[in-house]
Formats: sequence, C-alpha cells, structure tokens
Amino acid sequence: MPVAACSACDVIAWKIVFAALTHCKNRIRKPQPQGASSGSDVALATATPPRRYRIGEAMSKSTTVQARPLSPHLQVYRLIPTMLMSIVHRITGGALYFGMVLFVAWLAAAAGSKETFDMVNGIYGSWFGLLVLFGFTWAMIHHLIGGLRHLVWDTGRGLEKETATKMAKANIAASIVLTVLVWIVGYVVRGGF
Amino acid sequence: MSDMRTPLNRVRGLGSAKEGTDHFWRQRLTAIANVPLVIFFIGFVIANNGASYEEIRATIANPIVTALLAFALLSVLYHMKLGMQVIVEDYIHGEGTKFVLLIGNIFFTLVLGVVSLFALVKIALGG
Repeated sequence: MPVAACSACDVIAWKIVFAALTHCKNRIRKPQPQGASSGSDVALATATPPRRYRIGEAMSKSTTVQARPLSPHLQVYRLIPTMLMSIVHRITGGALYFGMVLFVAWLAAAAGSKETFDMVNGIYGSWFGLLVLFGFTWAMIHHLIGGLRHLVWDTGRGLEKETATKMAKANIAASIVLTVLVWIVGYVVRGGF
Repeated sequence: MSDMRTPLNRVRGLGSAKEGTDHFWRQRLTAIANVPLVIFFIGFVIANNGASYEEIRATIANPIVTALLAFALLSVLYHMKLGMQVIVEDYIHGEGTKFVLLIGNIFFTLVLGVVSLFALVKIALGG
C-alpha cells in the first residue's frame, strides 16, 4: 500500500532527522576537557560524568560574567533618608557585633575576682568608657528601631516612598531622643544627678 | 578561551543551596525575640553602669535577671552571626578570605556565647 509505505518512510525520515539533531546537540553542548582536541567521539563525552568544580572556580572561570557592564554603585546616587538609614542600620549592626565583646568582657570580669572587675569597671567608668557605652546604647536603640521598620515592611506595609522616608527620618530622631532619655532616666533613678 | 558551556551546564552542582528562606526566617525570628530582650538589655546595662562588684553580682544572681540575660545573649549572638554572615557575603569576594571570615564569624559568636553563659551560670550559682 502506498500510504503505508509513505508512513514508514516518514517514520524513518524523522528518525534520521532526530538522530542528526541529537548528534549535533551533543557535539555543541559537550563540555570540552582542557587540552583535548575538538571532535572527539560523542559516546566518550556522554559517558563522562558532569565535571565537579572547586569552590569559586566557576566564578573566576566565567569570562562572560566579568565582561558584563556593572550597575553603578552608591556614589552615583543622591543621598536620601531611606538609603542613609539602610547604611546606618548595617553600620550599627557591625558596631554592635564588636561592641558585644565589651559586654561579655564585663560579664566575665563580674564572674571573676573583685580586682579584675574593679579594673574593668574603672576603664568603663572613665569618660571615654562612658562615651563608648553611650554610643553602644544609641547603636542598639537605632538598630532596634531599624529592625522594627524591617518587620513592618515584612508585612507589606510602609513601602510607599513618602511613608518609607518618614519612617527613616523617625528612626534617626527617635533613636537619638530615646537614647538621651534612657540615660537621663538611668541617672535619675540611681540618684546620679 | 570562550566558555562554550550552556547556562544549565554551568549551574550543575553549583545551584541552589537548598536553604530557601531559612536565613531570612531565622534573622526575623531572632529579631522578634530581640525586641523585648534588647529593651531589657539596654535597661540592664544603663541601670548597672558603674555598679560595684557586690551589687552587680547580686543583681545578676536574681533568677529572672539570669534567665533574661541568657535569652538576650542567645538571641542577640545568633542574630549577630546571621547579620555578619550577610555582610561578609556582600563585601568579601575572594573565596579564601570569605571562607576564613565565615568560619571566624561562627567561632567568634560561639566563643562570646560560651564565655558569657558560663559567667552567668557561675554568678547565678554564687561561684
């Protein structure tokens, strides 16, 4: 039957086309081992397991990534409150990270001898020590309020430009006011004034 | 030599770290815990600024203070670890330096945690 013969022809023809395409695809996508001559046989390439990379190798190897144009960084933008508070949030976070060493040292000294504690307390009680402590409490209050801002944003609220700017300004204002207030209250309660 | 590998080939073995939003979630979780704990912590630090050896040991030995300080330290230190990890990942591009700093970050916060919790327990038990 002519029709049946044609169907058979079609199937064979498609098989040939598919095989040719597969062959080409394998040739193009086959990873070339370094130093190997091009055009080595396909069976070998498909049998090779996917290459494993050392940490960072793919990054440094990829020349296309390096050649891409980079987006401009901070220096091309006008400084705006939200941006500044974002930077301050990270800086205070970093400062608190190292500042915690001072607290842990103080706590460890309290767990030690009276002499050790008095020595540490003497350093912390100096004008410079108090300045650092003041800065530490401000950084913590600022980071705390900044964190609350983030938690508000996480609910999808306060992301409008005007609202976000207001929140940024409120963050710096509130952190300074609260820090001063907390220190005054601290001294008043202990009868320091 | 130009890279003939396809994007798919390139990401094989270098794809998702299978962590999803885990880091984000833990940072938020500790942030929420930090809100009341840090308020207590700031009050504690300012109120006890300049306190004598005997005074401060008596204050810390109070079980409520001990517990609150322990919670504050655990939550704050874990939050610190998460935060510094992001800072390192953002700014340190050399793989070697990055790994050293990421490991150092974990050790740093862990040492602070062990030292401070040991000190707390020692004072709380009157040692």
